[in-house]
Amino acid sequence: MARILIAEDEDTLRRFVARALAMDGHDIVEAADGAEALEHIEAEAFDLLLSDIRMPVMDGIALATATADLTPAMPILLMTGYAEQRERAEPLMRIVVDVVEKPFTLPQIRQAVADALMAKAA
Amino acid sequence: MPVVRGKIIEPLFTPEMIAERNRTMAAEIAESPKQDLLVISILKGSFIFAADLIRALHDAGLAPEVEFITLSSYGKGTKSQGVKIIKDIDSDVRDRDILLIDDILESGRTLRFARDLMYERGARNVDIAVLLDKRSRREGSLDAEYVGFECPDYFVVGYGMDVAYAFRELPFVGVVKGDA
Repeated sequence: MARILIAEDEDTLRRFVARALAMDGHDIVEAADGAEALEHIEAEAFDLLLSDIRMPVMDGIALATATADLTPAMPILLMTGYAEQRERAEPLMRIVVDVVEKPFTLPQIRQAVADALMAKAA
Repeated sequence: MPVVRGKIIEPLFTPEMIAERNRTMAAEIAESPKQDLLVISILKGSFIFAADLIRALHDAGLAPEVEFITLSSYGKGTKSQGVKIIKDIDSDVRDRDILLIDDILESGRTLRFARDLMYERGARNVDIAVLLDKRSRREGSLDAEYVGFECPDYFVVGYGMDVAYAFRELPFVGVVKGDA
């Protein structure tokens, strides 16, 4: 069981992933953009940040950078459906566990989350 | 250090430490008289702790009924976040003493929901027993009456607790330290 923050502006996808991970026993908090997610990170402790890259207000790159500054130990997993967004994330690979490509299947996102959680203590 | 599934697991609480705490907690729980005690294990992470604690309760002279509930917690916003009942208990809790068992107390959101739910349903008293208390993560005030161990803010596995369904079988509580 982990406490996971999901930052994703697309409501349908966010709720789908949130429900699936909650059914796995995780405690899920959802945010619709990077700024909202950062407010949660400043106020609460999480085991993992799962964030979309392209989001309004504050995107996933800025969120990941701010999160790594605030809580260096928290693993960060990014998601994107755009090749150019993936390239933007490449300089971040030191602070980001992985970039999951959309569209993904439930088993794929579950596995990515499990790998990221295990990478935390390593 | 134990290696499981290619990962090094550093034990944090050994089987002996856990067994000793379970015996002590059971004795404390048995100290006060109970009215038709119903023990409710919150699935899934607490199944091993609950299995050991109820047997320790037997040794301490209690004869509870045992039930299981599955809750799921997700949603937007700290305050409005919802806890949902995935699988409810079958028993009537009215005028009964309830002991909720969970593996770990962190934010307290699901346990607070479960306790309030039992009081709404007319329980006489609701106590909480957790194996681990991560006090640093608490949102709002909620304390468990019975705590096995204060737990540092590590991501822990074993003794029922998992990563993607793995490591539940470990007889100790440990931390994944990386690849072997």
